[in-house]
Amino acid sequence: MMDSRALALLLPLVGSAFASAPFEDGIRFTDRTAESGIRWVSKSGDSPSTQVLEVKGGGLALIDFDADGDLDLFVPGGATLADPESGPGARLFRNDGALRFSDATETSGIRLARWSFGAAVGDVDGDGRDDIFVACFGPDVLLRNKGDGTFEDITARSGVGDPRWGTSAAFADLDRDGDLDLYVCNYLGFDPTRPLPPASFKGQAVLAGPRGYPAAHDSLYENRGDGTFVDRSADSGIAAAAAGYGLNLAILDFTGDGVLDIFVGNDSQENNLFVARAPWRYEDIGLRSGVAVNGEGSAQATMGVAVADVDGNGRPDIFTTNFSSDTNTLHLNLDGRVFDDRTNQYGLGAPSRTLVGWGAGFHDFDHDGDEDLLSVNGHVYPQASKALMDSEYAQRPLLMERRGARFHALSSAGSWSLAPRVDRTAVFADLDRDGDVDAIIAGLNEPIQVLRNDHDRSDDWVVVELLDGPSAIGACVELSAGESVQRRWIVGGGPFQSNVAREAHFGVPAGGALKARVIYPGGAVVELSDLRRGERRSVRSGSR
Amino acid sequence: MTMTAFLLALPVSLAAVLSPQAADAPQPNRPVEVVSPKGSYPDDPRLDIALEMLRKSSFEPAATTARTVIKERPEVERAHAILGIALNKLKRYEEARVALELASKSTQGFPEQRHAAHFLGWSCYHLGELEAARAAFDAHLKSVPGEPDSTFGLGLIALTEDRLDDSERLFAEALRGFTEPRARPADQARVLTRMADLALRRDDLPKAEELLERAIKATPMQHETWSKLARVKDRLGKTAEADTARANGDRLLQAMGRKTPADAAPSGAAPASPVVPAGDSAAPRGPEKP
Repeated sequence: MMDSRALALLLPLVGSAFASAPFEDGIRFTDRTAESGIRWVSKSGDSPSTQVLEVKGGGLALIDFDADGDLDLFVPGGATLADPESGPGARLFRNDGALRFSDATETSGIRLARWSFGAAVGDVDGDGRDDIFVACFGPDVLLRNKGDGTFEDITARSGVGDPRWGTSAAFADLDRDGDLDLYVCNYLGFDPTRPLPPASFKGQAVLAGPRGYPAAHDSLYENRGDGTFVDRSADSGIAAAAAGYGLNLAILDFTGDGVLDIFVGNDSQENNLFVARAPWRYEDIGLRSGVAVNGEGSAQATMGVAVADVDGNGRPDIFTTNFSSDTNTLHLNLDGRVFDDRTNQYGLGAPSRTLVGWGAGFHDFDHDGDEDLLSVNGHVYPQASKALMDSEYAQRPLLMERRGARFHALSSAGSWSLAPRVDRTAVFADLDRDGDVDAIIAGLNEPIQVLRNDHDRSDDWVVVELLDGPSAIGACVELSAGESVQRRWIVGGGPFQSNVAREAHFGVPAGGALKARVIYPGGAVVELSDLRRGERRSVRSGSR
Repeated sequence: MTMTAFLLALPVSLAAVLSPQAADAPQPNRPVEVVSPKGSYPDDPRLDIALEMLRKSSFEPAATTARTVIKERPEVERAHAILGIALNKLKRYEEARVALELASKSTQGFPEQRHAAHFLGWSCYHLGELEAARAAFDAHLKSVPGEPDSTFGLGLIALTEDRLDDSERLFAEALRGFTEPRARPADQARVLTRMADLALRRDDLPKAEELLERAIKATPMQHETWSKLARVKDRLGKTAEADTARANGDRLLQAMGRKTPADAAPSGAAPASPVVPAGDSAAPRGPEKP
């Protein structure tokens, strides 16, 4: 496809046909849902929502389940208050290339009708194939990839079937023993037959929660190495923290000590930052580090989480999305121990004030050498309107382009971005393997939306794909081009109830030879030689 | 919020809007405000009752009363100002903006009309519409030169836009306005806390610490200030002092019902002073979820 800059130059000549699809600068996505083969509405209770169980929606998970080299899509399945055990079911879509998918649910053997929320992907039994953990309302589920295109439910023998309401989850090799351990965010205790009476928001009666419901402790599991797990929640110190309304997490070495830490975003409560003091001994430094609350000292309704080196100091910063009449928040990681709320400095506050933000991701959508930010939005209260609550129920996505020191909200990046939806999450990856970052968005009783990034140049990008599962999560990929250094982290966790693809995408404008290296948790480094613009490089620890 | 707290949360000239006795008194550092005398603009006696409700922090009844007047007597534009102020205090900013825009454009000369732009500025600010907020504050300052809370609003917008020097100048000007002709400690504390934000933005931790301690000296009733002081003390390595500050902030939150004692950070910190909610027209970011 033609370079978008060249197209922009031609616009005056070609007339209104192109001009009717306005976009700014180099960022442009095209809605390819109709052509994608994914025709699926993420069920989440009835419309309008009446209880808190109905408003979180389901996540998405990217997984190459058939080992053909591209990323397929797993979609947890919702249900209804009347029967949370029997919804339409989770779905699995096979990526057939060129952003076309086929429904592989039936042949995969996945029969999961329980109301499910988040999903995590990782090889739990060391057989080289990615498996799927699904956080549910009711017992969580672990699906083992048998390698023949089918999955088996190994929940009973794995020991991870916690019956509490799980939201987001992530795998990571927390004890560096070569297998993937598991952290599960649990939300609250809820009985669909005994909901709380309505609460009040800006003078309006609204569905109750999370306040009023009992918060749940999260779960931390150690992998024995064979896909069976030991619950380490209590003896690790995780359960010693105050129970929170856990909604999302990011596992990464935030402190820079070579050991993976666990950031947990809680709804309407202080966030946690669990750092390892010894193997399986965690201490929550959320308050002391500054990530527990925003700059005003207020706990927020943390939902989406995205990580990037926003200030270029080499450390992962934490961005979270939050409720309306509040703002999204950017905590800069100043030195590994101190985080500072610099939301306004980067222009990320004001544009989010009327939005309820969910899944978010930093990616260089326009290949100009810095990361932009896309977050998806939608209110939880069906009666929300600008007049009543300063916020609409259906909301547009918020696409922020990085321009120099600040981010700027784009008014449009294609017609898809103008349509309000009640969204909940998004996953990002080069799904059509053309070198730019595409997106799939899921909402609340909304059709899944497939967006193709139409940047489409062959000479201004690099993708580094990390093949080894356990060591990849938490890894940092550094790319140097001349004096410019960019970093990407493979985070455990995802935008919201979702996961992050194990690939690092870079936009690399012309100028300077490329050098890259992968820094694995624990400090092992793999240098990548002879990297070229327009190249996808697959890396295993120990390879070059 | 108590009536006293509400009035304290307003700058001098704005408090005068809701306090007819004080409005009659000339302010030494600004022009005498000229408003149309009673009877020269379309009015309704129920609006005086609504104004009294505002003074007593009965914002919802005040809004209801103003709405009734608007419905029955649409020619009385003063009702839009009363409604807008009430909705602003109820944090229903979009509705407030609509009402305050109508009030601002009115030519009827009712007493609250000149200050509608001030509340409009804050409503727009809270909706994330910084250009509209700036225009409203500027308009207010044209009619009430030097009014410190609108100056403070402009400073906050400058800080939000990362225009640090502008922010510094405007905060200093606002602080002077809240100091003379008479000291208004709660307002001073608000400005000092934001000046500390500016110092933090410049990575000047000692300056931020000094400003926050001055803010707490002005009033120890603002949780945000304690929280920020705790963060600064932490970063300066003053862990025990940080714990004390954090515990004091937690006690304020508990007193406001926004945090349970079980959630509070355990420490042997000194007890906090008696608590009232901060009446901050520049209410910071933070969740309002039920």
